[in-house]
Amino acid sequence: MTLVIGLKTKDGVVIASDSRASSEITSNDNVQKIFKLGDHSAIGISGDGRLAMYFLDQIKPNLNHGTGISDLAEQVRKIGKEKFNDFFEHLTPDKRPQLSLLLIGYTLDHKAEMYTLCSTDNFVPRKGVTGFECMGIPYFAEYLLNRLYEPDIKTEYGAEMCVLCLQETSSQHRGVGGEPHVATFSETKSFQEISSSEIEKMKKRAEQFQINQKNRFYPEDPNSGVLSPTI
Amino acid sequence: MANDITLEWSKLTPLTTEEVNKLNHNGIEGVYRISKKEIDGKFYVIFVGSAINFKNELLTLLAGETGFLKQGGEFSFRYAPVKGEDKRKAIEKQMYKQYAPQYNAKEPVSSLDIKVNLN
Repeated sequence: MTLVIGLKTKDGVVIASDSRASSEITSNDNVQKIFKLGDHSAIGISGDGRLAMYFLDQIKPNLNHGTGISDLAEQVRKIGKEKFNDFFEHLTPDKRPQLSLLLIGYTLDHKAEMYTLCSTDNFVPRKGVTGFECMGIPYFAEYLLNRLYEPDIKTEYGAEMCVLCLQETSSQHRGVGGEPHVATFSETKSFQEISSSEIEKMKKRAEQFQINQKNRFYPEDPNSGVLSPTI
Repeated sequence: MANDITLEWSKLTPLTTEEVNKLNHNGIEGVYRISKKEIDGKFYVIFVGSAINFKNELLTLLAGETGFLKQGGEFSFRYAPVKGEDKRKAIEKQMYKQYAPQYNAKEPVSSLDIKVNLN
């Protein structure tokens, strides 16, 4: 399983994912799930990992990145539908291996946008309306982002928020894990993956956030205890 | 789940030099926690610790020029005498996990896995 998160920020966008590929018995924590498309567009993948990699290799050379993210979503839809009809013509879309895609980038009129596309409904693009999108195991991340996200968050803190969501999901769901991969870009700054040392610092701060609130559930009981305790 | 060790905890006591000086535990090992009164009138744990001489440690904290006590507000503490560093560290770790105190920089390290009552 997977968690991929896309986030629009005040000054750019963030795309992040875990790095775990798991089967029923084993797991591998070194899987890349977010990729640069153009300088100012990126894709995250979730679902059948090996199929996703082949699919990406197939569609990337055919994409025109100069026409904006909404057109890019349409291009992916067309190619995706065509490829899947070719790969799995013996299966109806709902019976085919599932592959979900998160596209993030800029429109021709300079707005950051996100689209999610899923193989089970022929890659119909769905445009994000909340400023963030989660794919794979989204529940904990969506909860946290619903509580924490504001559109004027700066990119560096948006990245940190994504790491928090990945950490929290990883602590609750064994299908999500491994080192977080996080990349940022904007209309003027190219796609850049955040270094593992920076991710490590974000993880530490995420741990701090996680624990800060817990004592609210355990106030001291003013009536417990003895006057002179002994061993 | 049953506790491995049952501790006797002190009453919640105002964290003032006067109150700490009343303690008759100079040189006695123990674990302690410090809480701060919040707007709802309840005390929430903000720091946990253990020491071979917790009275001195509390007095040092109170005398410090910096630190979380200088932020102002009403603080309380409670403690339990515990012998043995291994046990103290294990209990400190258990308190850290339960109370998530914001002024402990990191999780206490302990290889001993014991459970105690925290009240």
